[in-house]
Amino acid sequence: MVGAHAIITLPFILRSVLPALQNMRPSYTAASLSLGAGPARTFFSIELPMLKNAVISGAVFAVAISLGEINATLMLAAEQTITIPLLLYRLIGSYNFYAACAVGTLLILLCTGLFSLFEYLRDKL
Amino acid sequence: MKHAETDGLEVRNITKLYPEFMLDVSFRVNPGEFVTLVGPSGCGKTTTLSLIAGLLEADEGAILLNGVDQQSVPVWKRSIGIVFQDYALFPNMNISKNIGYGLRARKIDKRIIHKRTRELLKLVNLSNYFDRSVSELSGGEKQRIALARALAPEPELLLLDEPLSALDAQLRKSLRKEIRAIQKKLSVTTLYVTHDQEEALSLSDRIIIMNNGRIEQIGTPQEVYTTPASKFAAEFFGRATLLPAVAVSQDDQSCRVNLPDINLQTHFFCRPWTQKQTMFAASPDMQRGLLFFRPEDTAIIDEESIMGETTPGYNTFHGAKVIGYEYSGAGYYIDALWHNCRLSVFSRSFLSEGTNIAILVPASDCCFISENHE
Repeated sequence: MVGAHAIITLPFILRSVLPALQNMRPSYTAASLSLGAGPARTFFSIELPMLKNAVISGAVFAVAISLGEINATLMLAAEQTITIPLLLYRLIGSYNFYAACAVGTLLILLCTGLFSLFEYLRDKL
Repeated sequence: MKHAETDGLEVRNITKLYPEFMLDVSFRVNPGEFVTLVGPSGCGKTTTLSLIAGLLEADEGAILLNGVDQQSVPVWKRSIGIVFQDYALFPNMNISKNIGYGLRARKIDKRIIHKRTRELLKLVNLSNYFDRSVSELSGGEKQRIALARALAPEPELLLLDEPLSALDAQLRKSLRKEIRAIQKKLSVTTLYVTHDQEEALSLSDRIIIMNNGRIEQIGTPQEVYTTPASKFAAEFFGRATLLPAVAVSQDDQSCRVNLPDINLQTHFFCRPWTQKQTMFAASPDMQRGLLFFRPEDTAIIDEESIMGETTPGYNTFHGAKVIGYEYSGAGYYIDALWHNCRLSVFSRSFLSEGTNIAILVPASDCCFISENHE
């Protein structure tokens, strides 16, 4: 199921990271390499920090989609695995509307909280 | 100090093939020397630089730095500092972090990095910029920091890829003086790429003129300006007169040429051709070429005052007519028509269009460019 979520969200991350990667001037990488930093150091000290915003945006999308995802989860999740949308679905299915409302509120709060955290991180990092 | 013969940079028959372009160059840069690669856009200068830096891989040939073949050495293990046209200062680091980056990559002690960064900031006259961020800098300051960063790990070779082309003219002139002074002070072997001929003439110990992936000429600034090896080299470094000519004979003092397009019995003289041994022995192709001189070497005289006479040691072009001029501040660059050929001459005083003039050029300032210059 984790694999399925990764596959579903991958295009959203690529959409945001690839253009940033293509727009990055090659001279940054060349400069880092010529100064004696190997490919790994160049990636972690230069390329990744420059792609930071794109990576965070991609992550926000990925989390949003993963949190609300139900179709793949319904089909692939093992019996004991319960995600919030799945729980909502089951609660509604058993006419337990009050509990469903509570879980829905929880989902809304969780999403809002995560988005705020990402926005905060984007400014901070 | 005496250097070993293998010291410095040697580029040996490097080739790189592209679908519509082929680079094929050989040259060397002696230790501590400042050599400029100059040529029009797309001539292969930056490709050559990338091959030396290891950012591109050559199809054939060898690049030796202080005697060591660099072919199998990855970029980050070559001891080469590069200054880029777009500075490439890392925006996620402040000035001191940028300068110290190469030293940190080499795991050098923090205190030494701090000391070296301070020294380099002093060298580029930006001592107070230690903690500033990259975005606070002007273009000229960015390029000085980029130079300091490239020099920090004490590279064996410094490559500069059109470092001044993004700056305005005034700043370019002052910064190129600074670059040259720093290079001399550290006596670091330097290869500089530019398309600006003035920059090349003013900065270099030697100049390599490139055209279409090949080297046209290598020489000191004086040599390439006064004795170009080809039509391209002659035209690249400013105004010149180039007249189709045939070399007739040569002795130690001068080389005698005829101008076949012009119906005149007169011979013209120029400096002896250095390759005279091969010249008259080889094919007739070698004798065909161009008579060349620079406008600054010409003198304009009143046609009537010399009455068709010739002066020994000078080439005289009688009956020329002014057809246009360009004011340069120091004087006028004049286009004159002489037997349907265009002559480029220099005059400190103004001459109106249509004026009849005679032009005197010392034979020692004229040279013969063979058509088959190789």
